[in-house]
Amino acid sequence: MYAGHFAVGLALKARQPAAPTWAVLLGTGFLDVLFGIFVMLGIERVTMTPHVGQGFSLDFIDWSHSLLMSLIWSFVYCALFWRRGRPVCFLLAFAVFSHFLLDLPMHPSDLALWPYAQTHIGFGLWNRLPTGWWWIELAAVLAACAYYTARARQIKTFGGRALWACAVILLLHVANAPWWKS
Amino acid sequence: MGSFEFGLFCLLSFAVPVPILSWLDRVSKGKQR
Repeated sequence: MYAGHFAVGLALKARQPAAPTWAVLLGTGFLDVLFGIFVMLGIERVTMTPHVGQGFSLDFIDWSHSLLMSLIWSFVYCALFWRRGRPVCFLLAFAVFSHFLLDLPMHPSDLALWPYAQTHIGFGLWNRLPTGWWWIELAAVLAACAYYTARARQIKTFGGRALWACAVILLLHVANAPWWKS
Repeated sequence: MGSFEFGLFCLLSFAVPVPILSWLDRVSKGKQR
């Protein structure tokens, strides 16, 4: 999942408007930011598979994306914002962990329970529904954006250009469509 | 694309939209809605 993480970030911002928007959005993508850094450092491994599935195989992503590490990163991220108050801290922790929850249905079985665990989980919609996953993620994006824009109209302390924010997320989702990759 | 480039691409893909979306979310204090 890609754009869906940002859409859920906006929905979480709408749920807790006191949370800094940048922190919520960075939180929902935090595991993939770590993944990018870890791959560049050689700590995690990915193999490029042009024209096959997503175009890459996530060979070892246990330090950024395993269930246990997702929980630990959520705790660490929450601790960074502890001074903002418990509700914001908990919201940001959930923002980080939401990444694991959203990746779970999409990824093939490459999400370890903990680093170097034998058991890996993932429902594999990317492979089972080569184009269908995009529509499922689109539904999640639209639902999250609908909640965000509705709350923004009520509360008025965020979402200054809510529809434009949703348009950017939709654009990212279109850019990530499977039809461009074949 | 190699692994290093893919890692950088992934990092930027998740980092670059953050300030853009945060800016679009802002409500100008001088412009009450």
